Formats: sequence, structure tokens, C-alpha cells
Amino acid sequence: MQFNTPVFWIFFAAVFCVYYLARPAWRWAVLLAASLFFYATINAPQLILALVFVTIISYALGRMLAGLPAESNKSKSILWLGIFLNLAVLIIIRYLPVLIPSWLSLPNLAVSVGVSFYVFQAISYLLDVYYEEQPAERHLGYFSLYISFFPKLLQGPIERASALLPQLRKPNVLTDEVIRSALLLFAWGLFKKVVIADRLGILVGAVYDHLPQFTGISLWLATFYYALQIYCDFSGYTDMAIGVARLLGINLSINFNKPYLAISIADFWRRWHISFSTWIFDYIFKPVQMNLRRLKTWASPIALLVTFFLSGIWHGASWGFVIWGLLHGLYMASYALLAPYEKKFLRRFKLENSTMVRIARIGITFLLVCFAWIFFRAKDITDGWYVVSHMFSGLDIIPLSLARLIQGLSISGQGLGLGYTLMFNVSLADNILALFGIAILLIVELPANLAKTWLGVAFQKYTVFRWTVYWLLTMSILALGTIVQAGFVYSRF
Amino acid sequence: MNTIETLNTIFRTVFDNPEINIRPEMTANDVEGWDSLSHVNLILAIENHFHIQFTQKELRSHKTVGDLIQSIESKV
Repeated sequence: MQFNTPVFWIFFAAVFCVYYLARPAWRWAVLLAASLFFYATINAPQLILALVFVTIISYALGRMLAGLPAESNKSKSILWLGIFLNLAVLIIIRYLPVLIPSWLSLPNLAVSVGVSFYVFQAISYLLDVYYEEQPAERHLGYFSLYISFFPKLLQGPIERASALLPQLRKPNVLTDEVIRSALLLFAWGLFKKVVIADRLGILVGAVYDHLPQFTGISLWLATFYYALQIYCDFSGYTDMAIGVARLLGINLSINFNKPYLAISIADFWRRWHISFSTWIFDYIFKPVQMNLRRLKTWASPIALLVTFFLSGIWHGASWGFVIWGLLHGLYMASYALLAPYEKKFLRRFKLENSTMVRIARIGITFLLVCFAWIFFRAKDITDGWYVVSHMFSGLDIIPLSLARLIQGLSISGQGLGLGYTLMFNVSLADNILALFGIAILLIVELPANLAKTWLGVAFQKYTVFRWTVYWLLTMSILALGTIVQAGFVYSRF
Repeated sequence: MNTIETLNTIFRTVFDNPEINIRPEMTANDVEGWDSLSHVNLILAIENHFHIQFTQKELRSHKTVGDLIQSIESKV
């Protein structure tokens, strides 16, 4: 079941009713049953096994750790056992198609959705208990719900025990305002996913899945589209997850904060997939960095390379992800070494508050991030290398006459006209809708405070305007949402 | 010199700023240049000066200057 399907909406309506009709002391059971059912509908039995195993192991080891003195040999062993078993589950589930002989013909072996997220969550739980920063959860029901809570089950956010467990026991009260904001957030997330992301996916696929036909500008444009696609896809999912959880009285963590406005790669990782980057920062980077502290200036760069290499692997054991991870590791390590000089330079020339400098930094960061996305999206290393080596060819097409522009925009652009270069042999309608979607995205998410813009003010003040927006949002999702049932990008991880 | 004064000297050296005056409630947000990258230099300087070594658990507990002082004093 995916958030962008009607069957989920019906499922959730039912869960919502049962949840609020049930006695508060039993609500955890309602949600747990719903979460297991939700996961089971994926029809890949190994997933339920993985979930149950991760839950039982982490629950049991957590309780064992609670009885032992911190950092003792025994508790260290238990901790490592817990981490090992959790990672083993992740690796086995990922490699199931290779491990299970094909004559057994079990369905959906390659599906591993959600496992990487709740395995990481379980590991963070064990570490927090080990360091005595989190008391072990004694109630198996609440703990199981903490791991399997269906709004965050498939693609996160990765929630810390201290953030989620207390809320499960004492959810927030539902008010008109909460319902309104939750539904609006869900609708916006859905819009980003089915109207913007999936449509951009068609354009990106037209290039990345037919690479030999494209060079130069097309590769740049497709990559920029991909950067927006993956953002709308993943942040759309997250918005839907947060909206759904909010209707149940639970506040999930923010996962995105205008990532493409980052002024440095370090800033980017404070804005992209925040629950994941804070996880790798707290549980991989910091300990590794501290363990290497005798290496002084080299401790941070090395720790960063290790951290981002592992981050690449978490996404998948293909060279594309490894390269993507290593690129970000390289970016971060370089930044760690150069940041003090950048600071001195900006201070020396009094450029710290310069808007031009800020725009330049945003632009450079965006280009670096997009360069890394090439390897994330490309089918394999050969394709990635193709993009990199052909990015600059054919760029002489830029100085163009208007006539050629018009000629090239004819839809049946099978030839090498500008239309083909910029529209990738995809229909004019899809191209225009994609640009329309991007425009809406910028209008809604670019401003620092949407409520203070003319749009936000009008929205709050005029009922007619507000309901027009609701209507347009709903209609565009129904009418423009792509027919192709594209799965979520991050559900592969 | 007591702990907080010694620590203040260390702060001034590590962050190259003779104007720093630490108070127990301060965090990394309150001291310019104190971030996760430079924090490791601070820890190293503290360990070298006081001839101590922090455990991972202790390192994780350092949220404010006060935590640092408490941590140092418990080991010296």
C-alpha cells in the first residue's frame, strides 16, 4: 500500500475511525495491528519476518542492556550483538534474491522496502539505551509500534526513541486546526509526488534511459529535473507521512528544509533527509571522529569519508551509490579542510553578508549536488561516465536564432532540433505541465515564511480564495496525477 | 587557577580569540568557531592539558561548558 493510492486513503479512513473510537489505553494496539496489516499488503512475507525479528531482538537486548552498568564489557558485547543482528537482517533481506534458490519461486523476493529505515532506527535505540540516554522500553506493544508505526514504516523519517515513544503513549489532541493543517500537508505532499515528481520522472527517464541519443544541454537539463524529481518524490512522501501521523496525534520529525538553498555541502546535509543525516552524524561520524582525534586536522575529513561511504552503501550495493556517497564524502572532507580559510577570506573582504556571495554559494552547492545525482540516477557506472563525458559536447547550440527556436519547438521533434534537445521527445503537454509544477513548487516552498507572502495572507484571510486553492489542489491531483503508477524513489532503499 | 579559568584559556587558544569568556550555561551556539569540526580540537587540547582521556559516553554527554567542567573535574 502506498500513500498515493486510493486504497490507502480508504484504509486510513477506517484506521482513523477505529483509533478514535477505541479506548485511549488500547489505541497502541489499533495502530500496531494497522501497521502490520499495512506492511503485509506488500505481499512479501520476508518483510514481516524481518520486522518481527528486528523488533524482538532490539526489545530483548534493550532490556538486557538496561540492567547492566554502562560501557562494561558485558554491555558492550550485547550492544555489538544487537548491531550485528540488525545489520544482518538488512543485508540478508537485500540479498535475498541471490541467497534463495530460484526454484523455490517465492514472490517479491527483491522487495526490501522499509527495512533499512527501521533497522537504523532500532540501532539508534540500542545505542541510546547503551549510553544510558534512553531508558529501555518495557512495554512490548509500545516498542513494536515505535518500530513499525505505519506512517514512517516504509521510508522514514528515522525517529529517535526519545522523540517518538512518549508521543505514542500520549498523542496530541485532535483539533480543527490540526486536522486542517494535516490534510493540507498531505495534499501538498501528494501534489508534489503525483503531479510534479512523477511527471519529471517521465522527462528524466526519456534521457537517462536512452542516453546515447543525448548530449550537452539535454544532460544538464535532465539532471536538474532529476534533482527536483527526487526532492518532490521524497519530500512529498515525507509530507504525506507527517500529515497522516498528525491526524493520529503524532508529530514526526522534519526531514527536509529547502535543501537546494544550501550555501555549502555541510549545509545541504542539514537540510536533506535530515533524520538520516543526523543519524549518520550522531552514530557514525562523531564516534569515528573522536576515535581518530589524535590525527588532529585529519580526524574530521577521514571520519567524513567513512561516514558518507557508508551512507552510499546504505542506499544500495551498486557502484553508482558508492560513487555518490564518496563524492559527498569528498565534498564534505574538502569543506572541513577549507572552511576555516573560506571564513577568513569572507571576513577579510567583508563579504559575509553579501547577497551575491550567498547566491554564488547556493549555485555552486547546487551544481555539486547535481553532479553527484548523476551517479545516483544513472543505471550503472558506464552510464554515469557517459553523462560526465558528454556534458560539455554540443553546448555550442546555445547561441540560437529565434527561427531555429520556433522550428525546434514543434512537437514531432524526432530530429535534433531544439525541441528534442530540451523536450527529450516527450509530449509538449508533459513538458509544460512539468514546468508548471516546478513553478508551483517555487511559489509555495521558496519563501522563508509562506504565511507572510501575499499568497499566504490571502489564503488565511479570504475563505473563497482558500477553498479555491483546496479545489485546485484536489482537481490537479486527480486530473494531472500521472496515470503511470510510479513507485516512490526512496522505497528502494 | 581553577578549572573554569584553565578551560577559558584553552578555549581562547583553540578558537584563536582572546575575547572569549566562557560561562557554564554556554553551548557551541554561543562561541564563535565552535562547531563539530573544531570540537575535536578542543577535546584534544583539554585531554592533553589535564592528562585525562574521555570515554565515548562522556563525550556524548558534553552539551554545555558546564558539562565539560563537570566531566573534567570528575576525572582529575
